[in-house]
Amino acid sequence: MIKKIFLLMFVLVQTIVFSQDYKFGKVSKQELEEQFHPIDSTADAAYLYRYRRTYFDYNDQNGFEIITEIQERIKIYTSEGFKKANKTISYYNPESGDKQTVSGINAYTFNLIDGKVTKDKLGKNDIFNEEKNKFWSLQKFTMPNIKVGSVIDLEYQIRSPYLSISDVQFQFDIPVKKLEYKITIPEYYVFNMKMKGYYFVNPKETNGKSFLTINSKTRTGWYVINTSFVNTKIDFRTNIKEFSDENIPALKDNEPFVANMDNYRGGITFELASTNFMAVGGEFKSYTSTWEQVSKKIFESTSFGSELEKLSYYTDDLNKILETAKTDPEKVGAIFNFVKNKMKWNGLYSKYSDNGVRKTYKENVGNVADINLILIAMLREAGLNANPVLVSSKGNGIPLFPTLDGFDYVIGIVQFPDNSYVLLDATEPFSSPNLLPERALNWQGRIVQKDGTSSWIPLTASKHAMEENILMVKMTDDLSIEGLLRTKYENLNALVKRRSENHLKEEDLKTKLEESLKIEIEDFKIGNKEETDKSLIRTVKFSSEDLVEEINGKLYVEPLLFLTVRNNPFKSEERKYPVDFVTAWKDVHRVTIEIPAGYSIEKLPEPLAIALPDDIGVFKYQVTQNANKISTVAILEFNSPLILPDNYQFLKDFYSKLVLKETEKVVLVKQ
Amino acid sequence: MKKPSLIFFLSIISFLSNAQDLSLSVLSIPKEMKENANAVLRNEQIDITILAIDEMLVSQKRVVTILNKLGDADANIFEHYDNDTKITKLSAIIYDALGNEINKYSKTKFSDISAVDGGTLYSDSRAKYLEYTPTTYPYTLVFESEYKTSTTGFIPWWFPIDGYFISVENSSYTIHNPKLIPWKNKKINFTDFKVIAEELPNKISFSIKNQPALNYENEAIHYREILPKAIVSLIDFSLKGVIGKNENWTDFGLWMNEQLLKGRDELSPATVAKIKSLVSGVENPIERAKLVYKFMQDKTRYISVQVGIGGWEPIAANLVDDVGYGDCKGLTNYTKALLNVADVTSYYTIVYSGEKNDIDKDFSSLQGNHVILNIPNNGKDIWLECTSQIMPFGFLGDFTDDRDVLVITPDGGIIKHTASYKNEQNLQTSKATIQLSEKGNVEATLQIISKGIQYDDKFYIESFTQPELIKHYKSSVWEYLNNVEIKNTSLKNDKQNVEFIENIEVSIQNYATVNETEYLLGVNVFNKNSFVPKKYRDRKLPLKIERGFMDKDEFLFKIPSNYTIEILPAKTEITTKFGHYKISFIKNDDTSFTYFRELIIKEGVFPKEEYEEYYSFRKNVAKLDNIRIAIIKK
Repeated sequence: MIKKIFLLMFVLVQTIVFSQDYKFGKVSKQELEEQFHPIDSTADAAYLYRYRRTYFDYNDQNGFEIITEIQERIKIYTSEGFKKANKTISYYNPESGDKQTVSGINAYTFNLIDGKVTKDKLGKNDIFNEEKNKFWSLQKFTMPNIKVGSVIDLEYQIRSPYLSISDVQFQFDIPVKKLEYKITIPEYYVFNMKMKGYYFVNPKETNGKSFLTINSKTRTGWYVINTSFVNTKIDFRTNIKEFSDENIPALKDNEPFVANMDNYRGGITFELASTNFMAVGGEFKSYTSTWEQVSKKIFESTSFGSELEKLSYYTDDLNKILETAKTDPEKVGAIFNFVKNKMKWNGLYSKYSDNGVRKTYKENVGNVADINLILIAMLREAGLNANPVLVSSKGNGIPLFPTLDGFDYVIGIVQFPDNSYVLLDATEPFSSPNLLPERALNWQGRIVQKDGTSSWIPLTASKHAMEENILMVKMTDDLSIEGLLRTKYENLNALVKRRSENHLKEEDLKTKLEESLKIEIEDFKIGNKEETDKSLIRTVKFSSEDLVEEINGKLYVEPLLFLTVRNNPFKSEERKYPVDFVTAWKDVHRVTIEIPAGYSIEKLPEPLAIALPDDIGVFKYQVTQNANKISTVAILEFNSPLILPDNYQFLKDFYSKLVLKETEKVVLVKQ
Repeated sequence: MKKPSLIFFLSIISFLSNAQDLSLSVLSIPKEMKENANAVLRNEQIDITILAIDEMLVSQKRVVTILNKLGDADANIFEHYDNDTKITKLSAIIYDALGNEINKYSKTKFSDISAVDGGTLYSDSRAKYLEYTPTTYPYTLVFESEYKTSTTGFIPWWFPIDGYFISVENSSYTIHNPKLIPWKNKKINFTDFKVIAEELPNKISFSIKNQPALNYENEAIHYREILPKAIVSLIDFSLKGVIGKNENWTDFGLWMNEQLLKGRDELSPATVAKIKSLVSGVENPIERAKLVYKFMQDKTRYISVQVGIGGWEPIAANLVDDVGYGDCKGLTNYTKALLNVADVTSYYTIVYSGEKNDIDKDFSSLQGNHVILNIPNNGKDIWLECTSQIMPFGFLGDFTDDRDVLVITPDGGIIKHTASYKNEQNLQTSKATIQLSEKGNVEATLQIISKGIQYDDKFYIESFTQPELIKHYKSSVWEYLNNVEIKNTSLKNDKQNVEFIENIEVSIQNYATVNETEYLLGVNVFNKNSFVPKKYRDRKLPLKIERGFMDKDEFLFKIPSNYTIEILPAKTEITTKFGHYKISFIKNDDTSFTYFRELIIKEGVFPKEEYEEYYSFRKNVAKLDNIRIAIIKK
């Protein structure tokens, strides 16, 4: 009996749960009554439902076209969430060529007013079309009568003549209560899927059946022409991928050290791998399948491999370089510097040459491939074993599946007979051999040899980004501090510093530093500004009245002075995605303070040495006294560019111990 | 010996390159024009012809040398257009430092993009621009454009030195009026500059030569207030096909009222009935207005939609009523319509929003960028911001306060000044009871009451969720405190009195430094002001304190039982023309003392010679806000 009741209850519960109706336009009273998201009370809005259906539609004019139908049901919890009532649908609408179309935009706002459900339709005149640029257009609208508590239900369709399936996204800046996606692909097409982010929904893969009808005209007869229409019906199988999930948490962009939030939000990218029309008398065509093939395909492209083959446009310049550069390292250095200084990057990423190397060389401006392919060609001509390395830039994410879109950037490599090598990126004026800009520092790249074969090579920075401060000061009788600060920046720190400051006036840098450190600068020098093969050196002669504190006759001073880390950058309790430092890094501070005559040291902070698990981070701190001098050494080092979420808590504690230690003061008393 | 070889060198260059223009060479820029400059406007010629009331031709030729990367922003290789503006000519040529042509771009090389900002749903504004990657510095751009428009309401202003770090060798502006269409002009800040002006019945021209670049300085008056500028305006003008009147503000207001506002305030009978019943029985018109304002705030939200006569005509009130959204014009006009039903008179009002900027009371023309509502209230004007769902009734905040605005009445336009919030009116009062533990931890309860602009600065946190609120206190308010935990918060937004009240319970681990011998603590736990203005060795511009305010703090400290208070610091007071700072201590008994603090900053403009004094005042305040005291073990 009990069992029966249980079963009955189970069935009832099931019915209630599944009775939730997501049919377009059928919004329930419960949905309108809900005042906050039951799981994430911080949510300003939520997707109650996200539906997407993507399928292929055949017509005689265009063949297969991809249709994507979307339904979004959005709940607004707060006035901050009102912005979710604004919708922008972007579609490819080039001046010439095949266009995507958006149709069937239907949308309603539902409100609960005095216990009654009201429904307001989005007016057709309130949908605006905007030609963003010569490729992309936008359909924009905002929903009527939005209030706290409103529910929006909207649907539309995009028809695309291009055989590419737009990204599937699972995770957003607001939570999703229920998600149902269905992608149906005819057997003639094979797509690779590439996962991204820290949230994944497993597809349920099944097969289905479909058919297409080809209408053809046949003309018969001699004197009287009869036109008859022949309908040919062709059956085919489909591969169906269904994604279904509930209660997907939001991922907001509000934490420090995040390179690209979209990389962390869960989703899937599709890329066409092959087409096979052999069953209907066509042919098989492979697009991609392995990284080897992907690389080969890129290599065989006329905007890549053939650009590398072009000769002679640089011959005069190269000969001049080779007059002085004789050894291999000299040649690499000289050719790299030549290209880097001659060419200006136009800011565009690409693995393919856009303008062609000849034109680029003449005009001195080009995209990533234009510039680095010239570099590689010149290095080869000089007898070096130089090759391109295909890269997925930081913004492109980490490529997990072999796809053409997995690479969007190219750099150069020179391999020496002793198996050592240098990586080169001439788009960055402040880079040097083996020092790549942040955008290229993403996991690993693919070397493509002259015969088109390829292999992986790690791209993470080979050396720590370094900052070393040597601070030698004297405390005067009137409790001001004066002395010298010498800062040395190396590797990525030098690159970033040069890029952000080299074009600024020294006077401005000086006042900026005065403001940030609260010091007065007497003398300010920057050394090796342009010599990228050397450390960037900044020397500052300064004084400050703000660093020593006097309380009841005792003096208090932080041993690292203005180099003290006073705030823990990690304030959130938890973090679900990595902390991205971009590179391993190391800060070293050596401070010597000479204390005024007549004072003795009452107290010095104890030394501290702490480490993060697996040697990913170390902090060492020591303060010592030598006659009238206090010497402090502080070393903070991270050996990995990424700190994974599992270690976040350790990192937060590590930093809070560091802050506590560095803010401990030395106490001086008058003798 | 050296000179001839240089000449020889130059002549070879010019021989080799037939596209060299020596006048474009950077060698001819005088040294003083390069000082502080990222770009040099070599020659600018703006040429405008008024062909008819609704036909204007604007052409410009701009030769600008970009000296360094920071100057790229001054290249401006673009032209705007919209539905009634057609670009007829567009070209750009780039020259290197010696005046050799490097690149040449015709109109077709320019990209065509929509110029709608991300926050706007619709606008017909577009632009053609050139994406140019400089290959070398310095370089010189010769940019030429010409457009024809039927809108004569916006005749380009002459503002030759448009910003900092750009010097001007020559800028000239000529406007032709062959048909002698009635016009007027205004010249601003001409006296301190050598401007050549020529005014004929059919032609006006201005020009300026050799103006060195202006350096940007913090806490300074806006460059707009000191640099020369000229405005020309037609008495009868066209705005997207509508003919406007512009003899004076009265006329202009009459025109706006007749052409752009009249008839746009109709509401459906249902809404009229709703408002009637909402205010029925309420005698006081201001009380009625409050009810209507709340009704409007609950019903609508702000969306920028620039439709209707170049974005000057409001969306009709009944349309706003239908969809529940509108831009500033639509929402203001809608509120006006609702108030009308409630028998409260109100006027549509044009204003410059953001940093304080007046509608020019002496020169009528299309001005302003925002709209608010005025309720006359027998000379005690009430102002309503209609784009906010949360602003208290009659409160403007720093977005539109304290400035001249244009009030559109049926009898014409009137210039009025909006409500201001000065110095002591922007008051924040903090009171805390702080319990110190033997280990140096803090347990505190704190009440903060904010008024005026200080209210405006924070009342929005009312809508924060608890985690957001905690983050706000930890990361923004008390960023300087480590280990602070927010245990409890309760916020009260008293819209009636425009007061924001925060009650917060806080604990801070390891706040005081404690060891065997000493117990040190900073007494200004909750309201440290560490702002110190930038130091200038040679200040050039007057000091401007944009906003005055007052902070009053009273923190009661209860010390651990085994400690005693020996010496408390003496009272400290600093009085300057920029404000006032005062701290004092009172020992209440053996276990407690109170810290009092008062800081007043006064708004105002002060001569540059006094900047240094202000700097040291703020520096002293920042230093004294860090004061720590020691309590002694028994």
